[in-house]
Amino acid sequence: MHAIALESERSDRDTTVSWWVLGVAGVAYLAVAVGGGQAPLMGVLGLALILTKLTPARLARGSWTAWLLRVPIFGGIVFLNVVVPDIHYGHGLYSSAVVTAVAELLSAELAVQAWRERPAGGRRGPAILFLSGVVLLLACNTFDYRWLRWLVPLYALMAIPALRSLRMRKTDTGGLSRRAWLARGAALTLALSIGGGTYLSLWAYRAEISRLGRDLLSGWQRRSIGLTGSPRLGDRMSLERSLTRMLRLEGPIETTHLRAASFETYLAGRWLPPLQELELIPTDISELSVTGQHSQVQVTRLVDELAFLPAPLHCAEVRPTRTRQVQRGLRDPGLLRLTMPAPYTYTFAFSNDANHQGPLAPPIDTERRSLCLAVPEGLDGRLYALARTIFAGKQDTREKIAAVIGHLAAHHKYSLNADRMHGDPVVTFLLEGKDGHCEYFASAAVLLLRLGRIPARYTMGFYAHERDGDGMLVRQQDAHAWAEAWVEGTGWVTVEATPGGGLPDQIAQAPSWARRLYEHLHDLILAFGDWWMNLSWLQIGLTFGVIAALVITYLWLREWLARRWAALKVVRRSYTPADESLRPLGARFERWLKRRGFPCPEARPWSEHLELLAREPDALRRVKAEDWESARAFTETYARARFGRSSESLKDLQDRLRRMGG
Amino acid sequence: MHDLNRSAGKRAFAEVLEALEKSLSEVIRGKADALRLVLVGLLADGHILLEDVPGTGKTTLAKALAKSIDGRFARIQFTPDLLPADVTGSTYYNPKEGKFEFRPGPVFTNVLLADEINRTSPRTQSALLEVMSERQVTVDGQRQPMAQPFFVIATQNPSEFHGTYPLPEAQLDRFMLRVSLGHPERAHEVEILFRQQEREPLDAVVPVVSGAEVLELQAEVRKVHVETAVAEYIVALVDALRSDTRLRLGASTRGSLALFRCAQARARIAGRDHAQPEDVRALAVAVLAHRVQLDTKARYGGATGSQVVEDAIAAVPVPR
Repeated sequence: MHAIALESERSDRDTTVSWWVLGVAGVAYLAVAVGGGQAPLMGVLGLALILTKLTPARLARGSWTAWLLRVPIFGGIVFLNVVVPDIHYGHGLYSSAVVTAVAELLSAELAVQAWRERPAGGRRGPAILFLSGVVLLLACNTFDYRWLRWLVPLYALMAIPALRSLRMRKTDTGGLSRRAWLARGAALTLALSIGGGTYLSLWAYRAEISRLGRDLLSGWQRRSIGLTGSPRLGDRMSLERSLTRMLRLEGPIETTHLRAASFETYLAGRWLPPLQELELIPTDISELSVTGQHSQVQVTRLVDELAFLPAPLHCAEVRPTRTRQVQRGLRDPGLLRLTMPAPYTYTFAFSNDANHQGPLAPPIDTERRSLCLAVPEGLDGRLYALARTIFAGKQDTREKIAAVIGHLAAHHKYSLNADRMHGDPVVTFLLEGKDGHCEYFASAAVLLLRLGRIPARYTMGFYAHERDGDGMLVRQQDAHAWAEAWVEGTGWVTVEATPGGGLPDQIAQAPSWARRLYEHLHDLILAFGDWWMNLSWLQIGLTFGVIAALVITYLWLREWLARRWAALKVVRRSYTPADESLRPLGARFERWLKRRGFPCPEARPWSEHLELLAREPDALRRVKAEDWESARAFTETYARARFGRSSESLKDLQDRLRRMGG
Repeated sequence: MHDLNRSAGKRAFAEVLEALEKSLSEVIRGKADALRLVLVGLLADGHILLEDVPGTGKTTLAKALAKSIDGRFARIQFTPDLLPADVTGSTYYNPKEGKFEFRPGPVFTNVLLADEINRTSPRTQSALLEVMSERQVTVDGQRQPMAQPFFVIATQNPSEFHGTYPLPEAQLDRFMLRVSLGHPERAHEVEILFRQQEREPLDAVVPVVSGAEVLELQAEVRKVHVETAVAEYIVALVDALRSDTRLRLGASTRGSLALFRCAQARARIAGRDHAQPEDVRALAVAVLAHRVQLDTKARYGGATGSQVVEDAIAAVPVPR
């Protein structure tokens, strides 16, 4: 009772709009001001809003004084925004001028609403919040988001306490009054504007967010796989920090270079042709399986985007599963391309001979030899001089290779953040003794070897070095580049010219425990997917049967518990319950009271409650007198049926409830 | 629904009730609620304790009620030197007959007005105990039954006043209801002044119901139906009082019984054949407040028995 009285007193005191509502409107003004360049007008309107807190004077409702203000302001806004400018950006209603003008009109209307008299029995809050929501939405739609991304969170923060101004009650008939609809509309607009603003803010931060996502999960794989296009020597390696797992190797394997593709043509910092332009020929996998007994290594390819089958240069065989054919490079037979959804498993076998030439390293022919000896035209003369110095006195190919590796290790340092090169990056790298990453070392080694008349090519792939249980794990950060050289009498050999034993990423960090946990979960999901894919129809049927049984058990248990709980509740209340037929009517009547905003406390009989309400002006105003009369008659009849000996007609009770709208 | 207000050859319940009410309200102005409670007590076959400051009309009400009932009426003015025998009666030697004879005390009556009951010693107060609850007097081993109906209406000043002996708990428990009159409203007080200008209104009171009729009314009240849920509500209220930490002593089972009977009476007065939780709530303070004993801390904290009972009413869920 007191609560009801206080409520009505409070709404009577509500002559000014709350600071929170004004704050919300102020932020909407600010959004128009910073984005649309309408600062002076918005400043004046904001001041008008604040003034409402300082003076109780208001424009009378139903008089023309409000229009006296509106007409010149609105006219001025339209004139300045739409008529005066010569150039309009956008079309018709969507032109920025029109949107700005509408935002300003609504802002002005908002100020007028704040100055108007409070509607009888209602509040000004809903109207103002509604207008501010539309204004912010317009601002989000049109204006610069650099500022909006700060203003929207502020707006949302203020809107939460301002929602108090939207509390409305239902009308006598149980429907919503016009004001209550306005309140709901305002709440919806607030939500929409906050949603729009949030989208805009997220859009403003999209680069940061996507980088964050990539750093956290490395889920953004397509571009960062690194085995697309052609190697281009830049000042940074784009993949240096990605921990995405690419391959899992299981079997007797040590650290090794897993080659994916090689390039022969160097042109101004790029190795050509790009991967997508490489000519590929279908090959039967029997061609890849040459020798018999070797130690097998099973490889699981963990990402879809890696379309290669990386394998060591000297492996004795590569054996793809689930297919008979792979694509093989025409010029580089070591390039094996196969598109399969991850996880995809294939095996390769190691030869025990370090220089064994397997199916991936066929002998060099004349054409390829000339390609592998070619140096770019117009190469800096000092490079020839440098080559001569390095190779001075060296006749043997292996000696020359060692000399190149020794020179690079002596004069260059490894760095992921390479110095910025000018001109041809490799030439600059070599002549000026700069720092660089594996791509520089590999490119430089190839060029120097070619100057020493050794056929060489640039190879990219992965350097497997991270132990994972019994096998190896290859991550994206393990992407690597190195050189391969042709040694007469031996064949192709791997030339690792990058200092540090070939580790491409000595400064890369080990995965964190969180990363490990994520990977573990990912493995579980993969394992589940694998298990699911291999189920027979019978097993699938059984699985669904078990799930259905679990669901049915759960539902039954819930029902049983609910019944037990209901029984406990009855015991706790300790009153003999009313008749089965009466109980739903009582519950309906309680709901009727609740819907009208006057729920009856548990410790008060309905008749007393109705008597109290009969003295409550708020209750009398909002519920029709005849409804109160019906309610009283209902409680009397109900009490007779509930506590008396005589049997009352339930139909009568039901009719009364229906007439009351209960 | 059977006819509540008409029984062949007799005056209807409502008629009798109306006559009684009219008779009392001629004397006590503007105290309809208190009068109603007194009638509830009478119809529920209980005794009533009127407690208030001096001069609020307690004795007048008691006398008016006594005079309205056509039966024997006795009055005991309790004083500090009153002895138990002055209440119950005593055996004396009749020299003419040559044997001991019992001379009945003032309690052998239909309506007993025990005025200022707390001005006498606890010993004399206790003499009333047996009379009130068992409706008999035992003197010198002789059992003397009381007349029917037997109705005690006692008045007392609040116990903090000078020269009072607070009634013991056991005695208090035997009063079905405790009623306070309070000062009348201003308009009523003016009316009272003029009404007593020429003659005492009490003098005009004549018996309007017979003792037999009162017994019939009481019998009818006992027939009023009380649903189990309502009885459970009574017990829940009393139970709440027993677990109230402010109380040294909660209400007794006699309290539950009294509330049950009073609810019946109130329902019957309202013309219903069944009691409702509203009856229980309306009577709980009058029936239970004088039976509970506050602990020292609560008493000095300003709590009263009525307040504790009201709190229980506000807290215990109502059966629906």
